[in-house]
Amino acid sequence: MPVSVRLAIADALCYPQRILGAVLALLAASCLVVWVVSAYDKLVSEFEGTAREALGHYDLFVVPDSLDEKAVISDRLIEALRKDPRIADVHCSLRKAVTIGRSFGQGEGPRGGSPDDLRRSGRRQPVVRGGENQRSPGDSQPTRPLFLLPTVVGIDSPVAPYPVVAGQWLDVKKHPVVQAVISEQLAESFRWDVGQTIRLNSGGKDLSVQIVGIVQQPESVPTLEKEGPTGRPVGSTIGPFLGMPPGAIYVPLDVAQEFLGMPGAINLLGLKLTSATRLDQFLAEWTSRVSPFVDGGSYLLMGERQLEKAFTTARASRSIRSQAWTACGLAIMAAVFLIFATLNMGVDERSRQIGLCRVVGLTQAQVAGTILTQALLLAIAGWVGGLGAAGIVFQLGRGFGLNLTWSGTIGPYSLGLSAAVTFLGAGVAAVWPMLRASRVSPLEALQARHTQLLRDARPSTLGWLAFLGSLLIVIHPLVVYILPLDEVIRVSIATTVGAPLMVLGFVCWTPALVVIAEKAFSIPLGMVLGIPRQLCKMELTRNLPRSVGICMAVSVGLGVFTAMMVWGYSMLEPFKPTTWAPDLLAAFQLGHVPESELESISTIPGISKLLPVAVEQPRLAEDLTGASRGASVVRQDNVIIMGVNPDLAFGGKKPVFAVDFVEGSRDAAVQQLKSNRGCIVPDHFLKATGLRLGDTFSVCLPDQPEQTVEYRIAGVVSLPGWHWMTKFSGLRRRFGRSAALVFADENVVRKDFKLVGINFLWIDLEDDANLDLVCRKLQEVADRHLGPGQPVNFQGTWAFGARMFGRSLRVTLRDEIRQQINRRADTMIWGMAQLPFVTLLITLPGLMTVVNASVRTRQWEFGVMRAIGFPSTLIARQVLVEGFLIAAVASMISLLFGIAAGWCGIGLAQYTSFFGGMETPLIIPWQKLMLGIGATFLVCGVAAVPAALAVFRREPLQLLTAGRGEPFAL
Amino acid sequence: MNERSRGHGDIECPLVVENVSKSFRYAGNVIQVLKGVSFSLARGEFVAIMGPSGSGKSTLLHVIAGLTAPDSGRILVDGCETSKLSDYQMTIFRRQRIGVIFQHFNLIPTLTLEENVLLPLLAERTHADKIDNARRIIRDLGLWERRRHRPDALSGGEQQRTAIARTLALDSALILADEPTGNLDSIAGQELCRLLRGLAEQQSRTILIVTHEPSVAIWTDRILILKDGQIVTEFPTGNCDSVRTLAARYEESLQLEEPEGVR
Repeated sequence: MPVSVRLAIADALCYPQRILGAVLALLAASCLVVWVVSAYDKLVSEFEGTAREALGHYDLFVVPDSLDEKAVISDRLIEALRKDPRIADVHCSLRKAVTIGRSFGQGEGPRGGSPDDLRRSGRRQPVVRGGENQRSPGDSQPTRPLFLLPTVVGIDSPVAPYPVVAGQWLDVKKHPVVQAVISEQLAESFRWDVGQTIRLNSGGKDLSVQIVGIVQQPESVPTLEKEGPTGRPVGSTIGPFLGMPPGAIYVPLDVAQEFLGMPGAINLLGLKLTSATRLDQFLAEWTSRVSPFVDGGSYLLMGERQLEKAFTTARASRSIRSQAWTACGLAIMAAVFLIFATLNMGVDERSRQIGLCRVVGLTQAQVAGTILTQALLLAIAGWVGGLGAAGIVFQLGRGFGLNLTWSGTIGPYSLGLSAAVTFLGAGVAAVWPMLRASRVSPLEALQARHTQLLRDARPSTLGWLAFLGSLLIVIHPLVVYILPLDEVIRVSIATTVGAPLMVLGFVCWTPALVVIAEKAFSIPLGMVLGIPRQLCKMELTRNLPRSVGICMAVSVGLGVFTAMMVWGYSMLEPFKPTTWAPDLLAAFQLGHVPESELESISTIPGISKLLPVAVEQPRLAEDLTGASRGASVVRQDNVIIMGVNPDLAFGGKKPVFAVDFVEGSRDAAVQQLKSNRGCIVPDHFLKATGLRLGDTFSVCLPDQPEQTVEYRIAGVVSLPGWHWMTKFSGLRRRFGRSAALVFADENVVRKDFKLVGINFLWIDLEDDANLDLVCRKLQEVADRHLGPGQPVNFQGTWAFGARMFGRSLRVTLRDEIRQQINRRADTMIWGMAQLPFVTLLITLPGLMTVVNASVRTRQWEFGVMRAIGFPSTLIARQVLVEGFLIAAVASMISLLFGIAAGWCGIGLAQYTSFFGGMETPLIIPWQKLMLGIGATFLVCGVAAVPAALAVFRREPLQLLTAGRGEPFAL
Repeated sequence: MNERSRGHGDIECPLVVENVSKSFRYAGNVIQVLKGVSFSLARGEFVAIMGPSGSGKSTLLHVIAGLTAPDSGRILVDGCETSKLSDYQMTIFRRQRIGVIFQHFNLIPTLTLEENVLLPLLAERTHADKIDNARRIIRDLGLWERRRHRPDALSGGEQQRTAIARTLALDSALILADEPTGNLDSIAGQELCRLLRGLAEQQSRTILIVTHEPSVAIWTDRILILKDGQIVTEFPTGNCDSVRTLAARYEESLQLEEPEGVR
């Protein structure tokens, strides 16, 4: 056995308590990684089965390679496929999302009400397709759409694509009533059953179908996703399904084509190959033929492997994967700093021993090898222990009925990443201690000292380090905010250079911060704990490398926590509606209310202001916002135009919309709205489009897309929260997302888009208004004028985010939206913060090791103090001071780092995040940050307690004796 | 490095020190610790260096052991000019040819007695026969029963004997001892001296010992007196019939203003 290994093992066996803390910390770090990554392992393991199930009866699907939901498959391709003798069947389908009208017969469809109402009634809310799940770390639930979108699938197959679990498949013979077969999850969601008749709506047309069967198909199917150069999704965030949609309503193909207004259109083919056909060869040949095909279109062939790949690259999967990477990053950083501190302490404490080895004849490489071996021993123990601990914790948690959201699957990713964290962390952390150990002079062996060698740094060194750190730190904000760079280059440089350099900069700053914090906090802390100020010097700086290491380790968790809080609450702020929006928005969804009813509505008790609005959601004539290169909340291909009475809406002393004008004056804007086809836009619209005050833009008429109308920008306002005011209210008539909420003259809008009657009312309420009464009165008005359903995007039909009164009145309350946003944001942001918090806890054993080591080296000193006459309680409190000082330093570093990183993250989000692009203020949620800081002080205090107790219990002579020779075991 | 036979009977003077000087920088000042020291040791000679505190005794030992480099001069150990070796070369050379014993903390606390003795062999990855030889040395020094004990379970005398065993394990040509009896009681100290004397006489080991105790120096063949970084005189201990006589002679030597002739 090499001498280095022998020495390392001997040391570990002799003084296990010295490394126990580091082992436990590594174990916890490894366990954390397993906990998070195992969710991805389980996901990946499920993809295989799910991909096969998604294909059902078929071997392949063919879909257009386009995000446009109107894209179809050409007849030429269908013909070519039918001619291929290797294909046994080609079944054509046409898919399009629809809305559900009222059902008749057994049971009923979902009604309005809050999600709580639905839950109490035992009914699930209607589920709608969505992709951006926010999952807790370690959440192992399969990736599935949050919501299930009812989708008509016209199909010409005589056989069911999936197993029929109730009723029968479609009968190809014509029937007086249109038959439909639905997916099992749709049936569960809406509580539909065989025999029930449901009404479907699409583009103003209704279709009644009778459910004759239910099929069992997978709950999740990947969707087509494309990304822009900075990673943002291109086009709509939710692309077409790459197979049969989970919320399928199967009807005969010709019926679907007529109902959906797409005669002859096909957008999905199901291919069944002959048994002699080799799938891989078939795919290889046809994939190159269809991308692009001779007719110019581009298509995708989706077999089992292609669907698996689509699952793994889906945004939801990437979300879990990014959580896994985040967990690994946090764990590795904590591990590096903890191992660094432990090994560094080892070099300090064993400098005499190392010198002796050099005297005896061990080379520098052999001495360094001892340190490296120790690091590897730590890593092995931590990794193996972490795997075991993860399993035990999960089993115990399950036994106690706790939902730890852990999958219990330890797969290749869990094993690999946890090993990488521990071994890579150990290797990186060992570099500096190895160098130090190899440079220990043999003369160190000859120095018999009682007092520890003070390892502090010269002020000039700290100053230079801090200066260097400052230079490194400013690079990131310079890149993100100042330098005139192309978006793609900016993001690339910021993520690969700026962010790592900022981290390195704070590492360089840490020694100086340790000194500053010690000077600032040691005496006050000492005073709080009753320690004379003369004894409060150099608690941390007596061994600066050790202190720096452990402070960095603690800062990892708290720093990331701070950054997440700052980023999260700052990003949230532009989405919270402020008082610019009136109290209530009423939407009449069936029919419309004539102007003559306005007077009666205005007399409803509790209403102080009333403003009818005419709303349309047309597409922009040009891609002004760059949505085709990457969509976001402000980069979309359409706007919501709200026609209002300019004087009532913006004029006078008490306008309905109390907006702040960012550019242009209120009066001038009102005049331009009335006379010059002027419009008022939100500030981010100008930023996204590059337009200026006075510029014009055109929009297409929804029913005649080749015709456009133009508006001139007359004013620019701040409209925080307009997204949420429009999302569920029904204002989004055509599309799920929109680039801006634009105000124009009501008469102009009505004329441009041929809008009759009143479908929306903005209402301000008196302080003592009875909301229920107001809404019921409005409902009465609505019920008097029922008519055809208004166009509305599916979000405007959800039983979430708004209240339904009767069948046609939908009410959105500004304050309710704010509360919902705050609640949801708190849940999401705190969900994100779980990982950093756990990382903070991981450092606890390492902290204990460091404090123990510090006490070991000060035993002689403590012995002298006891001999002079200081009580043991004071010595113990002095040990606690060291723990709290570490917390103080870590808090300082974390606050500075977290605010800086969060601020830069906000800037970067403008280019990378779907939610970027708004005017985002820097919000520092101090209350929440105090929780993190409090937790840090608690952890550090707890870590110092065992060492404090050990010193408290020792006799003075024991301290003196131990301080002269080998230390007593702590 | 000069390739020499590893046997310790080939070179007449295993240690030659020629005009060695050494200074240290402390708080901006240069302190000249050794000033042109020259002497040599014959094979099998047991020589003591004595002198007042701060005279440079330990520094001289450190320089000879290669633990620090001299500012000027030459040092030849077993015919090899060690003052010109690199740190790595000196380390290997020290492992193979020089044994060092300190006043205390000689041993690695986490290794057993046997492992401490075998430590240079482990670093050398040497063959089993040498390990057997080392174990024989442990037995010869009366330490076999304690071979599995760690240093904290050994007495001071046992620890020093273990350190001696380690120097013998790789057949060192030169043994340097820096106040080896400083931490021992008088009986243990005398036993240690007897052991060293035996090594010099029976195995022709060349031993240089730093001490301030006449009762230790009496065991040697010759005494070099170091004062203010220079060897001021030397005398054979054969001329001293008792410790008292030696002590008196030592005191006289310390009164000398100028160095006498030194071999």
